[in-house]
Amino acid sequence: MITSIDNKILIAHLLRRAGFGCTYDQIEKLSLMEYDDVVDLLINPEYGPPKDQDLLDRYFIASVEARTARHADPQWTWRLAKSEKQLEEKIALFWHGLLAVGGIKLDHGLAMLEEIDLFRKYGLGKFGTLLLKISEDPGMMYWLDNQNSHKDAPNENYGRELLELFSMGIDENGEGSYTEDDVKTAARAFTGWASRPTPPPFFLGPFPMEFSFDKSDHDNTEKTFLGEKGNFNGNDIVNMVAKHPSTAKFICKRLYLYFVSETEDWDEINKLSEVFLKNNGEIKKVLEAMFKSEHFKSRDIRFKKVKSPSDLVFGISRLVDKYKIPNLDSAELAINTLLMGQFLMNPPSVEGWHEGEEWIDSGSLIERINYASTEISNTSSYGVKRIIEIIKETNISEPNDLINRTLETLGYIDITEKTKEMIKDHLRKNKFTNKEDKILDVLKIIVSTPDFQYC
Amino acid sequence: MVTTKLEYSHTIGIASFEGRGFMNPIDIKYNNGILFVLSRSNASNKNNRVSAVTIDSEHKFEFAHWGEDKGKSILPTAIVFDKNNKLYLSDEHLNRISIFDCNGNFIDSWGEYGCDTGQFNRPSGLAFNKQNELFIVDHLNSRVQKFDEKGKFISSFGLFGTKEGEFNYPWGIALDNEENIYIADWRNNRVQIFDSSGNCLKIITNFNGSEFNKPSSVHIDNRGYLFVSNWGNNSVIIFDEKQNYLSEIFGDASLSKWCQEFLDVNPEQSSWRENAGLYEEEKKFWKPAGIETNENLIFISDSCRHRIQIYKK
Repeated sequence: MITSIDNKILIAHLLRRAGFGCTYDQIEKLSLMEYDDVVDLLINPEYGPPKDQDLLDRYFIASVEARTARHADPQWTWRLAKSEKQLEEKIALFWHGLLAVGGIKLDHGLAMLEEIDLFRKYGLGKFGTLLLKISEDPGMMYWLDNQNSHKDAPNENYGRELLELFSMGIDENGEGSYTEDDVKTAARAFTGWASRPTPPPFFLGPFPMEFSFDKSDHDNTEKTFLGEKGNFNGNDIVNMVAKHPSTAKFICKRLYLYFVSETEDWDEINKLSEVFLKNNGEIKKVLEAMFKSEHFKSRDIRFKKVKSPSDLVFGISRLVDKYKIPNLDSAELAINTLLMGQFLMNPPSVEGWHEGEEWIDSGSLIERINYASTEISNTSSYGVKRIIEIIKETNISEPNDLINRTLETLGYIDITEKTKEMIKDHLRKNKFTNKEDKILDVLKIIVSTPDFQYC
Repeated sequence: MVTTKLEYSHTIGIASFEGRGFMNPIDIKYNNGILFVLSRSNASNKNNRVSAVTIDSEHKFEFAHWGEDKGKSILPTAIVFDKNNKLYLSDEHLNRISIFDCNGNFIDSWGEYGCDTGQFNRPSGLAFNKQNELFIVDHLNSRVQKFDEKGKFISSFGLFGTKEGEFNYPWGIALDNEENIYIADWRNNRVQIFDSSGNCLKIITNFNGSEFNKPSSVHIDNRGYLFVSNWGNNSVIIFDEKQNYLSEIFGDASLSKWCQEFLDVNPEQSSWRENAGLYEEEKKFWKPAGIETNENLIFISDSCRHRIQIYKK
């Protein structure tokens, strides 16, 4: 029997993993629905621009013609901080880390924004479609040097990363299901795939990048790939790779590590792989099975995953409900994730980011605590005012009750008993001039604890 | 219907974070032979400024760079000259009006955030009337406020909405010779015309069978012709003094003198451009904003292409 409070706790957990979290009031509203219905809502976003796209463009005109990834920041960070279609942004971030293109080398903010939008549009659909779209993405072609891959001299970069990092990967035994010859064949199949040249951005700003296919530079001969023979082109390679069982395992492992736990559980990953194969690689079906599983909902999974810088920054932004319309502060949110080690639209390599405990070092931890503490103490933010109001509405005198109520208002989060005792001790030893100061103090302490670094 | 095609003259500008060139120019004013171009720039590079240049592409000086101190700006939105040749600049982040002489020396500033009379919530378009009174589009307060040149509040009109006389994120403003007030009612996709007391006289929502798409700027020349930056559709629309449609232009830019010089000394970049061959694309407006005219010429700030496209009247 799922109680009302259990439903709220589960929905809050779901929103932290399938999104960036939400406010107490949003949880209250969503909890009028069954948990599974909330999952269905999340996995079926309607693709399209945000309703305030025009405002973003007006206020941050340089992001419209984004020359670099930094120029593009205001566009994506606004959606990360505000979009109601949370999973659409979360899955875009996932694919951005897996099918990684580095903004510094690409040096084309417009192309980066196009790519992020590609992840929104196809990221929950069939993996084969997504893989084909990213193979036709001019930014990806440029990033992995495919413009230098010619019929007579194939460049293996894209073919290799396609198999090793983007699809088939390696299995639980550390072995790949493809050979070095398969890599070479894939490279030959993608010859002629490139991006159209654009004028340099240094005098008129950037021009949109476009995919190009040069038939005369494509290797149009018979090839052998994964044991099959044929005159394969890039589409054929993508189709063969996308339906391969190794791809199912690799993609489901990465989805599991991103959404569920940093510790591989191959029983769960194999279950997801079966869903992947049964549904022609449809990612939303995999996520539906994942989020509705008892494993995902279990207490063992909650608050065991280190928040990425994006989880932390956009989670706090949403919690404190700071932005009504785009402003200078929202435009610079990416600086905060950068200071914590995540340079959005510029992953460190084609491998993307190394997640988990690696996010946290002494420097980034200070940034995390400072950011969270500053934002939660900003009483001009609507969300902070609302948290204080909710706690005040409950007539609480005992420190333990105050802490528990505060944890609920922060999204039904958990902290350890040891941390609770520490906060109680702090409350006993200090005198507060008014109730609001006391609440703010508890809020600041909670977001500064190690416990708050987990979701 | 009579349509006229404007004759293109030349282009000024090059993308530049500082010095010669512009970075997302969103407004332009002509004063005594000098063009004052307002670069909006972006949140990360912080290269906003007002540049003073000649029509022949001579860079003179610049001012109002990034900063909160007096004489600086953060998110500038518009500039205008008063009858004493003082330049007024609106800043929607600082909610402040800054005043400079025509050499770029700071004189004064005023304004504060709020929704009370005389306060601002993101001031944008600016225009003076013949009495040297300043109209400010106070866009998030959905109103137009009138001040004297010292910043003393005189009157205001408008409120949020979609009905006649109401505004939805208004942006640009212009006054005609009879002191009627034209407002680019941006999110309502229309231009509204008011008398000097703020009574709505006319609403223009379409032209030549098309509808406006987020008009950002309006300008009236000495003939009474109305120019509208159709920002969302990357075009500029011209009407005669009776608001009859004359033409729509999409940009005709050639390489500016500064761009040509850049390519001459950077043959690799020039070769890159030739290889791309997007010459027709290069001509087009991308988010046109502020418009200005003098006796003979029309100046259009082409904000995403970092240049001013100039046409003959």
